[in-house]
This record gives sequence, structure tokens and C-alpha cells, in this order.
Amino acid sequence: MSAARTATRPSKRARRAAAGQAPVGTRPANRRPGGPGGGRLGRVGWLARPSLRHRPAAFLAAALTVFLGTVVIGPFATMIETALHSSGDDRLALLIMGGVVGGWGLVIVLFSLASTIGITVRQRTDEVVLLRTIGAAGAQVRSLVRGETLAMASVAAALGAVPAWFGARALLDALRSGEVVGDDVRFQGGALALLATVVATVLVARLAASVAVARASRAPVREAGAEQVREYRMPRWRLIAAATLLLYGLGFAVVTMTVTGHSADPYDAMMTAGNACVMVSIGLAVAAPGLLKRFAGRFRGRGAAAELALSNAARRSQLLSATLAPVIVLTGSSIGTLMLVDIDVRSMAGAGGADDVTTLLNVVVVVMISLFATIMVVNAWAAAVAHRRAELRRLWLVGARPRTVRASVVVESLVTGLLGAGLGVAAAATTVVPFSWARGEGLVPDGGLWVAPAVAAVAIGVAVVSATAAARRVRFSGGPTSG
Amino acid sequence: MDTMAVQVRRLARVYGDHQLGVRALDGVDLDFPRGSFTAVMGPSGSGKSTLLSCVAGLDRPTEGEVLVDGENVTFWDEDARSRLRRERIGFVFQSFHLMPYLTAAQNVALPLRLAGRKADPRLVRTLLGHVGLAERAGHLPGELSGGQQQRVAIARAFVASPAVVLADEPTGALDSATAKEILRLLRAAVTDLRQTIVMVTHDPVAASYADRVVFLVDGRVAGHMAHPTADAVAGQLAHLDQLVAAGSAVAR
Ligand SMILES: Nc1ncnc2c1ncn2[C@@H]1O[C@H](COP(=O)(O)OP(=O)(O)OP(=O)(O)O)[C@@H](O)[C@H]1O
Ligand SMILES: [Mg+2]
Repeated sequence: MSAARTATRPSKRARRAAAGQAPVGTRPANRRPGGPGGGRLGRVGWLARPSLRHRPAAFLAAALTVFLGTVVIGPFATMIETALHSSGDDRLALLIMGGVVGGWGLVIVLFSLASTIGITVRQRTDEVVLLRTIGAAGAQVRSLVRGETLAMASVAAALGAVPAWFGARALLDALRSGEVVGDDVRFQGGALALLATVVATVLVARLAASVAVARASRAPVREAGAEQVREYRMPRWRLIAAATLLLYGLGFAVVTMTVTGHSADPYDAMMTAGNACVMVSIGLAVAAPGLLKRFAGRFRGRGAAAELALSNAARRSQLLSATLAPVIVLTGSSIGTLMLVDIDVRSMAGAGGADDVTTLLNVVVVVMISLFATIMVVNAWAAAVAHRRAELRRLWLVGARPRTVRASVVVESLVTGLLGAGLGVAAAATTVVPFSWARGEGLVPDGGLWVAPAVAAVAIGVAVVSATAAARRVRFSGGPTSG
Repeated sequence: MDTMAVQVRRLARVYGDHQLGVRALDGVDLDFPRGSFTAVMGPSGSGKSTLLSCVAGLDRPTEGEVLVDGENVTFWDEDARSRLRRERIGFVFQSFHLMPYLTAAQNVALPLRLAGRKADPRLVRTLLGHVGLAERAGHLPGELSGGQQQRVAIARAFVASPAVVLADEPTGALDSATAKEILRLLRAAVTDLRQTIVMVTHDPVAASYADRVVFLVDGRVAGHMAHPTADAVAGQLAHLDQLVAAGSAVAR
């Protein structure tokens, strides 16, 4: 809860600013060296409603992410709350389910949430630049964007809490019937856990919005407007975060081969190996904009559609990377975890069979992550194409056939799909290779190799289908005047 | 001093490297008296938009100073610049730049609301009436023609009674009849209301509505013309084009 308190602190100042009050301790007089101060500022909250209504697709994509994020995290948070009311082995099992499995879910959900909110905010750069041109202060623009996100996220997260509650009951039932926990474990209301989930989700959405709008609201206006087409450089925090996750993940792989692989308990190796692919996937997903730029910049397209697609993917890697990131996470963690289970079942067959609870946990992780990542791919394409609707129309106005324009979007999805699946397979290898080695199957597992191409193909398919569906919705008709 | 709405002194704006970069503006000295209508002309890339951006604090000059109402605004921070735009500068762009989801009346009132002031509905109605759109106050920009949208933008530019209205090719996207209406509106604001206008244009006819034309070439002032006529401006532009052609030939 203390995190919640720190995170709300800056908004008070923004609210004061938006309400036209000077921050405490400053005077609106002409004495400051920077100039005569910001002056009186009007409220901007009223802009939020027409603005949200103007962009229903992007708005719904963001709201859906928040909603599903709550649905996914909620049940696990509830398991922790239930654990606090039980004891012994049940308590431990519930804590592992809530804390470990839910923890991974949390990381992935929050990351997806941040990247979707990032697109929806960044697609409003034109609007931010226009507002600032006619005199809106940076604080007003920020408070507008934050306020909108806050309103959208609160409603979506609150709605998500309802299915999350049913999900929590279903999860506990599954755990009881799978005999992971005893039949006497009682479901505990979940109100506190769900509230915490809603608050966390809303705060992350709001934080992501602040980060995304920071540049456009602070830089000199002409630079802020030119930013969109300028070369994208990954900010340092992003590089550091990606490198940390990658190293951490690789560290788990190394530890599996050197330490836990020799341990007496065969499940020690799984504890370390299982984390590797998820960490490496997320690390690669964080680095997605830079990776995409490198990758797409290497190819020359044949034909108008491919040429458009590749140059767009290279130049606007930041926008498209939101569609790449979930593909990496989807393939990386599903292939890694599924093959892990497969190796486990095979190698434990002689020793009394694999541990059912562990298998169940792993399958829950895969199902949860895959479902969420799949929805994120669909969602990210909807948001990215909605962002570029005007630009795609312009291509049509200068003579491109609608088919060519739509095809270029589909080629983009093939590029990001292929790259994402490739990176995902590489991430999965950091789990599969060490674990297979630890269980005595050598560097390449003895079976189940078909999982990798199968999952990769499904991931690419999801990307292409969602891009095609999003591109279909772009309308090419009517006059050249566009807002 | 006080009769000048805007002054720029030795203004320079370099993009990229200080030595090798593009000198979009290169030592520009100009005065814009109150109640004057100045047209800024010059070849594409000569620095006209950059000049307006620097005056409005949308861009930071590399060297030199900008004075608005006699006050040096060059070193103001972003908050102070946004206040400058809110209170003392109006804008009209080539591509209208209205908020797509606000009605005409809301768009006109927006600068006042950003400043935390009551947007007097009578003022908004009067302004929309001036530009001939009293009937369209409740329409969204998407429901208005290009010329009508531009008239909304003009009403918005004048709503806060700014020290100067900056117009970057305000008629560039309009047919000549609609352009004439827009120019008449701007002219009337100067003559009747003593407003100050600086307008970038490529059109000699548009320039002839101004009191004076300033010619920019390669970021420098290449000449002035008082009481311009369309023919005289066209002649001067042709002459400038020859100069530019000769200049680049020499440079090669
Ligand atoms: N962000 C930028 N980075 C680098 N160079 C720039 C940038 N913005 C403008 N320039 C350069 O500065 C010069 C002046 O540009 P500016 O937009 O002021 O020209 P202009 O006179 O308005 O031209 P036009 O009539 O075509 O609108 C041009 O050479 C342009 O290439
Ligand atoms: Mg220009």
C-alpha cells in the first residue's frame, strides 16, 4: 500500500495546476529568471469525454487490455488472500500458485498493459502538439492524458473484477478437485485481493500514460511534432531493463546446468530452468523496438506493399514493436514450458511418474500466458492500425490500391510474426537445453521437438490474422478532407 | 519601442551541427509594428515557418532575440512560452488544425478555456458571426468545408485578443474564391480592429492584401516591399528565383 501512496503523490500537484492554482510556494509574478511563470491555467478534464469518444477503436483496445489484465491477475491475488486464511501444506500450495504463477502473470500483464497504453497515448502526439501550439501548458496536457487514462482504466478494471471473482472460484475448485489443496480450504471473499488488483492495474496504466506523454508535453513544440518521424533510439532505462532480464534469465540457465542439475531432488532443476525462458522472453520483448529496427532494416522489399511494410517497420519500430513483444512472450514461454513438462513426464516415467501438481501448475502458466499474449497480439494490431488510419488513407489518396495498402499491413505482421517467433524459440532454448541436459537427455531433448514449430506457426498465424482483420476495417472512401 | 508588436534581432536557427548544419534562419532583423499586416515570402525552405515558430516560442532560436510587446521572450522556459501563446499569440495554419472532436464554437473558445478564463458565449458567437459561421457553431470540423474550417481557425486565433496573429500559408489549401474571403477577413481585422498579422504565403495575390512584404532567401532577409501589388510581388519573386538559381550555380 505504501507504493500506492507514493504513486499518487505527483498527481496532486497536477490537479492543482489543472485547477488553475499555483503550486504552493510559487508566485505568478514576473520575477522568475525563466520568464513570467506559467500563469493561470484552466481545467482540461472536460476534453476527455469527446476525445475518448472520437477514438473508439484505440480506446476499446486499451480498455480491453486493462479489463483482461484484471481478469488474469485477480484470481491469483485471491489465492494469496485465501492462503492467509489457511495453514500448512494448503497454505504453501496456494502461496506458490498465487505468488509464483501469479507473479509471472503479473509481470506479463503489466508489461502488455504499459505497451498498449503507450501506443494509445503516443498516437495522440498530433493532438498534444496542436494543444500546445495554441497555448496549453505541459501540465495541462499531462493532466488531460492522465485523467483520461485514469477514467478509462478505473472503469475497465472494475468491470474486470467481476469475472476475476468467478475465475478465482473456478481456480480454487480446480485446485481442490486436482487435490492440490484439501477440500476443507474455504474461498475467502477476495474483496481485498481484487481491490488491490484493480488499484495496481489502474496505477500501472496511469504511470504508462505519464511516461508516454512526457516527451511530447515537455520538449519544445516543434521538436515534439517532428519526433514521430525521427529515428527512434531506445531510451537507456529500456536497454538496462532488457539487459537485466536477459542476464537474469541466462543466469538461471547456467545455474541449472552447473548447480541444480546435479541436485538430489530432480525438481530443483525445473525451478531454475522454468524461469529462464519467461525472463529471456520478457527481456527480448522489452528490447523489441531496437530488435525490430535492426531486423527490418536488413531487408529490401519486392513490390510496393513489401517495400512500404519494411521501411515502415524499420522506421517506426516503436509503434510496431507493441505487436512484436507479445509474439515473443507467447512463443518463448509456451514452447519453453510445454517442452519442460514434456521432458519431465518422460524422464520421471521410471521414477514413479511426474509430480501432478507441478505439471498442473505449469499447464496453468502456459494456458494463462498464451491466452493473454494472444489477445495482446490481436489488441496491439487493432491499436497500431487505428493509429495509422489517416496515414493509410493518404497512401490510397496518392494512388495506392486499397489491396496494396492492406497487403503492406499484412507483410508487416509477417515480419513481426517471424521475428517474434524466432526470438521466442531462442528464448525457449534457454529453458529447454539446460533442463534436457539436467535430466540426462543431452542438449537436445529426446522427444517433443514438434512443439517448437507448432507453437511458432500458431503465433505467426495469430499475428497475420489479427493484422488482416485490423486492416480490413480501414475504410477507403469519401473525400480527401480528414480531421 | 511600445509601438512594436514583435521584434526579432539577429535571429538564427541552426538545425543539426552548429558549423555544418542547416542554417534555417541566419541573422534576421525585423520589426512588426502594431496594427500592421506583413506578408513573408520566399522560396520553399527559406525559413519562413521557422521564423514564425521562433516568434511563437514553438522552437528555440540558436542565436538572437525575440521581443513580443517589447518584452524579451527568448529565454523563457516552456511554461512561460505556453503562456505567451495562450495570451498573446494567435495561430492560423495551412491545414486548419482544429480539434476534430470539438464543435466550431468549442474550438474557438479553447484558448480561453486553457487560460482558465470564462469563454463568454456572446464573444464566441460574435467572432463566428464575423467569419460568417454563426449558423455552424455546433458543427464538428469534419462537417465543415475546408474554407469554413479555416474561418473557424481564424476566429480562434483572434479570440484572446492576441498581440499578434501568425498565419502560415492560411490560404494554401483553399480555392481562390475561398482564399479571397479569408484574406478579406484578415485585412478587416487589421484595418478595423488594429490587430497585427504576420502571414507566410507563396501567393502574390495574397501578399497584396498586406501592408508590406518581407522576402526571405536562405534564412536571410532579401528585401522589403511596401504597399505591394500582386504584379510587383510576382516580379520580385521571379527576380529572387533568378538570384537563387545563380547562387546555387555558383555554389556548385
Ligand atoms: N526539424 C528540422 N531538422 C532539420 N532541418 C529542418 C527542420 N525543420 C526545418 N528544417 C530545415 O530548415 C529550413 C527552413 O525550413 P522552413 O520550414 O522554415 O521553410 P519554409 O520557408 O517554411 O518552406 P516552405 O515554403 O516549403 O514551407 C529547410 O531547409 C528545412 O529543411
Ligand atoms: Mg513552411
